[in-house]
Amino acid sequence: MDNQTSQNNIAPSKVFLYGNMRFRFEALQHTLVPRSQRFSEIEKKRSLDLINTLLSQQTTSSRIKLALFITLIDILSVCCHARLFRKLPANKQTRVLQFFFNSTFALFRKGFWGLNTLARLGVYGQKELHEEIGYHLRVDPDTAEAKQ
Amino acid sequence: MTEPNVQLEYDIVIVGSGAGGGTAAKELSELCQAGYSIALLELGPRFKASDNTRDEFPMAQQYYYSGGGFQTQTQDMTLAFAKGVGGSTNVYTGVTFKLPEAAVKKWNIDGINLTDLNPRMDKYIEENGAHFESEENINKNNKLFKQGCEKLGWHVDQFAINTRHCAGLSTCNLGCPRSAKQGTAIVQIPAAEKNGVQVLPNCRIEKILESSNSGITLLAQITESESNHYETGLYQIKAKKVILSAGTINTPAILMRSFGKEFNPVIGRYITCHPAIIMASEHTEEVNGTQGPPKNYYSDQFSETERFLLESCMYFPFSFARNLVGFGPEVDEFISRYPHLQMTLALVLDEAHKHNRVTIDKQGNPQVHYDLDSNIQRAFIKSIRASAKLMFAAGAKRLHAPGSKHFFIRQHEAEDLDKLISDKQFKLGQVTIASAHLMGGCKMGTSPQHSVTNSWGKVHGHNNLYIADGSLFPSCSEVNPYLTIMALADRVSEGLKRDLRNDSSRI
Repeated sequence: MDNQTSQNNIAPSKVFLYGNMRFRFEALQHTLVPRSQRFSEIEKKRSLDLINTLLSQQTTSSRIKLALFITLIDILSVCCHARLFRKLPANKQTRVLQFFFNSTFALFRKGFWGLNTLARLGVYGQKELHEEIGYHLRVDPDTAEAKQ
Repeated sequence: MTEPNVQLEYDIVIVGSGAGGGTAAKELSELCQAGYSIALLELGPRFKASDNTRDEFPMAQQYYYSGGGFQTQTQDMTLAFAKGVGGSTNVYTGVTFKLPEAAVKKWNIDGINLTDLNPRMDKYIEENGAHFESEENINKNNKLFKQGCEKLGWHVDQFAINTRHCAGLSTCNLGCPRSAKQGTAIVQIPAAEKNGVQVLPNCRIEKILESSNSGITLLAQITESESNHYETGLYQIKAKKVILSAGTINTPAILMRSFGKEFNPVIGRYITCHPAIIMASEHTEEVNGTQGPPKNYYSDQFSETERFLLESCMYFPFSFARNLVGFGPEVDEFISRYPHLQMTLALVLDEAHKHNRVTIDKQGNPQVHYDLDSNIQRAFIKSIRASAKLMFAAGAKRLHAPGSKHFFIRQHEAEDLDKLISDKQFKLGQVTIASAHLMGGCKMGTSPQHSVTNSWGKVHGHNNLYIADGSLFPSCSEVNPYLTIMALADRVSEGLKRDLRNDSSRI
């Protein structure tokens, strides 16, 4: 990945989103940041790389907490709707996440905030998507001149 | 830990190269002419302007400690501070404020007053090119802030920014690819190096091994040799005088790693940080906050009464997106209106409390304990209401409001802001709170029971150890702090030079 650190540079033990965990996370990301539902394979890979890069710099305990939180979301989904989160219809997925987002337990809100932040990093951290939201940087006149 | 492989010796060593360390290096560098050897050690690397791509994620990873994602222990606030030659002056927006009289009066320290600090601040205003941006260079995002305040009859003013040959690229918080922003890496450190100060990037101070009347011995780890004269590895560095300028988080951490957590009753304590919230609103016409310098105006209308300061601001897609409370299609849609978004920043002027502190974990890494107490939460709610009023007054058609029942408030609801934004809806952990103004932790004062250093930054009970950074602040500066840090570093350097003269006259 051009300027962004590639997943290849991350120690295998620190790659968080792979296999089943990747699919569970992507289902959450689709609800949190619906734009991610339209991702191409390249965009999906960029998203994973960004998130895995960031998570690889966190402590093992942070990664474990995140894994537990994602599991907790599945447990609640099963308890309330008899299905894992990724197999729920969109309106029920929203309801499950709303519970954590608005919970009276600060710990649940913080867990949700962390998850939501990662989901957004995977989308809005991709510079290739900035054009889509109208984020245009002013060109450095000196660089432009040098190119001419 | 293995034995250090090399010993280095200097007369003066400065640890950290941000607003404090970079300034001290320059102010002391005249001593090199008299034969003194001075080293400036920096945890991070030295950056080249040409390496700056202005891409948000890689640049945040490059410039910021923990990639900008350092969280307090309660995980309800993110602290942004930088590493690398120039420290946080590489990534600030260059907002230049003189320390207000109200703040310095609160400090209540003999000798620290505006009579002493103003000439020092004026020196750096001049040296670092702080100036008021001309009207034609001010973008619409900033103009809307001013218009909103004026319409409401609030006090609004322009602040100076310290740039030279700025092209208004707006990515100041990701470093400057033109070296237009006049931080210490551009102004003070090159001047210090010209005079003979040696800069050692990628150098982490593990601890102070010895601090006596004859000098200080540091244990340092050089983590990358690329731009250093020295190989990677452990070093013992001896100096007659040492200045710690590693900032509010790392200066207390170094002292605690060296002398234990209890070496001083207030070490690491009384930190303040201007906890901040970003607000955004959508306008019908384009606002284009990315075109031109990002910040020009502030309103201190509520500084005294409600304890918050409002500033205009602009953030990049991910930094901005992570500040939005909520999720789902409406949030996505709001972000896709990026060119139409006005942004403001509300900074709470927090009180210094003993329980807000830096500690270290078993490995010696810093941890920050900070309680976003009910006073801060109240100030946040009032600041969100005020920001909302400001943006609606400027013509916004809808806005995103943390602490409101719904994620968004529309123009027709503007009359009900006090009802819609309430303490019932403001929940810690749900709202994104961040801080980039870290202060305190090694407060100045007179007695060792109530302070870490004297009013000249000399650590109590340590004749050759000084501090020159934001950790000296006894309470918050109430404005962006870099200029005050530089003024204090200037004062510490003056005191150190006087001590050196006294030391030589005693020999």
